[in-house]
Amino acid sequence: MPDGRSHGVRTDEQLLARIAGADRDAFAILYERHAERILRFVLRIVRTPHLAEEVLQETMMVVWNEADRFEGRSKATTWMLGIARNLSHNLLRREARGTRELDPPAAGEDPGPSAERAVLIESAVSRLSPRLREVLHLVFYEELTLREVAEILGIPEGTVKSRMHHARKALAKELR
Amino acid sequence: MTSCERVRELIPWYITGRIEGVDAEMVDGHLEGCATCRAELVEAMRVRAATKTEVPIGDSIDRVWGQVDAQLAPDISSIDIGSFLLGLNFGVVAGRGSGTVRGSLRVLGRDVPILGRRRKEA
Repeated sequence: MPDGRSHGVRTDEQLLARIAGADRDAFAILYERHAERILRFVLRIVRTPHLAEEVLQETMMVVWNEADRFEGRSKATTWMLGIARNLSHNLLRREARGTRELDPPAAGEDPGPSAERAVLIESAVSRLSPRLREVLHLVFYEELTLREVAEILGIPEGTVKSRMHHARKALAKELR
Repeated sequence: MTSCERVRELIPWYITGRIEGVDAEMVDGHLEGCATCRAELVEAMRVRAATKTEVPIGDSIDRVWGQVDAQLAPDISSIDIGSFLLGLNFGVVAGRGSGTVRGSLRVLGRDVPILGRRRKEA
């Protein structure tokens, strides 16, 4: 676990400015704050823990190397989730082309009765396309605004609304 | 687009409370008088509750940090020259990856900074 010390810096944007100056402590703090959030988002898209870890690692290296390109036009979290999203789709495209092995999603331990519904839900979510899974996650799990989701996905707000509609309708049908 | 369709599109953000003021008022007003959209709201709430379920991530966060941290390790390690008898110690640490160059002089156990430069200024 990172053990970054505070420099009296509080906002993500200030941390990114320090990371642009090669401040490793600031990078450790940013990682500690957001790694789990990024990982959960990526996991929702790529579905395999091993691949999600790979994307998280790539994402953080992009953040480290390109922090000086962050212009503050969006929130730092929006910027990082956007990077993670693009890398996730790159990886899925590489897999679709067969240029790398597709690991099966982790089977996990035998679920107890209380976990059965969670497994059922996860299975229903996994049957949605990656584009529907990501929008569902950003809206319902991350609770982002319409504008923020559109920024991360790089699509118009109208498309976000329509994908969200399809996603929840498909999931509602599965959960009936 | 009918008002029902507009409201249904906004229901997800209405549920999470991440809806803009004017839209929130419009959805509020519409839901009061539209049973069909209220049913839609209930269905969307069920879906949301389902997607809030967390997949366990184990020790992934620590493991990935280990890999990221290893990639940031400086390419050039430190040079340390000193004399125990004279109580003098001179050290230089240079990191090509991080663009960091640091130097220090230790005299009788006390640090005397003599060099500190970064490629990119914060």
